[in-house]
Amino acid sequence: MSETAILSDEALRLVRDIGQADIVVGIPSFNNGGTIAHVARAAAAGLVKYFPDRVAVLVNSDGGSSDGTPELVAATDVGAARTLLLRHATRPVHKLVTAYQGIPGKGSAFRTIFEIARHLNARACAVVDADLRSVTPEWFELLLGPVLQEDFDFVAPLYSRHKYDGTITNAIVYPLVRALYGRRIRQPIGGDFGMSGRLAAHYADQDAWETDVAKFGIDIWMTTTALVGDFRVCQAYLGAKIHDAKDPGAHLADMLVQVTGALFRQIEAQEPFWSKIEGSEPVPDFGFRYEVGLEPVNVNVERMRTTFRNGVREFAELYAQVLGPETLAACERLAAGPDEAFALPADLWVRIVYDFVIAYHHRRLLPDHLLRTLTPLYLGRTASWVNEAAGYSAADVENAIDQLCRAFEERKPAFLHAWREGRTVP
Amino acid sequence: MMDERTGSMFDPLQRFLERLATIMPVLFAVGVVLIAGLLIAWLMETLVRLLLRSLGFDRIREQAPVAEALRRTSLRATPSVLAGHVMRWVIVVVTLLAALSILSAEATDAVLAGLIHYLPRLAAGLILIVLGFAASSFAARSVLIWAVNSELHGARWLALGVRVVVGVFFLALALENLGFGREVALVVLAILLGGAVFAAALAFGLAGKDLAHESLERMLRSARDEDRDTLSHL
Repeated sequence: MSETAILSDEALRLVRDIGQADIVVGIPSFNNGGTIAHVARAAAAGLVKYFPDRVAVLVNSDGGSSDGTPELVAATDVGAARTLLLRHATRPVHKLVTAYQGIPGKGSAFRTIFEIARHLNARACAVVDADLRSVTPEWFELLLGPVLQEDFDFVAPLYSRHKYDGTITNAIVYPLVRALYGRRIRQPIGGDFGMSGRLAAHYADQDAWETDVAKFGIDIWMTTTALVGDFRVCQAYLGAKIHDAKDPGAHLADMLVQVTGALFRQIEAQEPFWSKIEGSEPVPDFGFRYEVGLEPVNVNVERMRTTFRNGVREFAELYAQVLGPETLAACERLAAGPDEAFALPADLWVRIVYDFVIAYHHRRLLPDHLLRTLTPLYLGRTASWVNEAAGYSAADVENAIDQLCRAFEERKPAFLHAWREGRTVP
Repeated sequence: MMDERTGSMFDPLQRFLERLATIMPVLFAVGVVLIAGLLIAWLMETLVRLLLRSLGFDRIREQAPVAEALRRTSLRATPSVLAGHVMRWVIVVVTLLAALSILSAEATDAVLAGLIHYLPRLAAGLILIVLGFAASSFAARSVLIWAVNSELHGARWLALGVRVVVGVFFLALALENLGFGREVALVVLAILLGGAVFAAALAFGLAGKDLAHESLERMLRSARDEDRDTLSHL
């Protein structure tokens, strides 16, 4: 697709009218009428408050909402926040509301934002989810400041989260990204990112927009692409992340397929990069950490254990093609054991995840089937984590996750051998 | 008198020897063709196997659909060995036809004509059976994974039911294509589908009423907010 086809004629005309900008803030949306006005106002207030001398453009890249989301952004008075601020903007915040072109999905919405940033020759760009309830003007200082003032290229978010929240991130995505790519980016799929104009243009230039990246998995794609491209990476503490409740009909298995599928594809494609890396190193942090009150979380551990047991029993034939004999036997022992002793230890979980990555690479099962069969094992690990972390403070939680990541790092050499030889991890 | 008796005694033997003298070259030719054909079959099997192995043909085993098909059919042999077997049997069949043609051209023509007439149907039938096998395996596995992840009871039986229904559907198609019992195939399919629905109704209504009650109760519970997990996995 040519550059002109990526942007609609109307968007191109508006971009030409604006000419040049220092900052682009992108909000991808699809039926986010309940929250998007708040996100747009927070963004405008942040831009006016923290970057009053910069030319800024607020872009809403919409996927054909039927609830009037684009109209709400268009109607939002981005100047109203001035009354709350000490400083007045010397330059107005421009608004650009456009429907993205191409394959429906968050990735295509981001592509449009990156193209607009490139056309405007922006120095910094930030993207935030449209369903955020906890977003504040400070988020934009934290996502854009490290780029404009410290010359970082990629700013990942850091959030305060309930110890039972973000289990896919904590148990799979963060440990794998840290162990394989060697950088401790705590929220690789956070959804709210800051980046330099150079990195936004780099993203736009990638040959990935006609693949699944256009639909889902854009977050992990952005993070790993920044790491592989040797861009300067940091993270910024944004506080609590509260967003609209997801669709209750959205199935965990579908979510796992999307997230792990996107991550495993990146791992497969970027082997020359990560195979040379040993250990991991922290990335610079920005932002002031503080305690936040978090909403209570309901967890039905019994149901998770039941799904784990059913999965180990019913998927035995499939797991035999994916997991090593010892790993499978350990799962079967755990499934047959009593509830009180139910604990899926870190070492076993590391072998399970690595074996799934290898099975995906060597196509031991159809990818969709393979990734869906991870669901019961993941729920087993989550049930185990809920038991383990019941009395943990926030610091204990981070320590335990750090231990898990170290276990991933220690087993990486064995994983690499197994990956190359098509075996399971010993 | 004596000469007449001796002559009549040796006549049948003479006729037998004359007939044998006529047939022997034919039998000899058949033997030569069979031995040569079998030797060529063995030689070609070995050649094909070694050639494919040296070309890395066995690597297709690593591809998921092929590996899955080999595993499901319990074939332990490598793809190059399998290709060698196919080559050998093709040559054996051609050899048998050649041998038959030496014995009787008419019989060979009749067999060949019958085979040629039936081959397209046979091939289509075989393709349908292979497709049915693949489709039923795929559908059964998809249903099993969905059912387990959706916390449904009896996931295995549900998957088995789907496998049987899809398999029988394709078998009925294959049989109809081969010209066997068209009506029978359709009736079997109808009975199976109807029977499955009836059995499920009975199981839920009578024999499995407790199970049905428990399942429905659980479905209702999970639909209620207070019993739903509120943790965000991402």
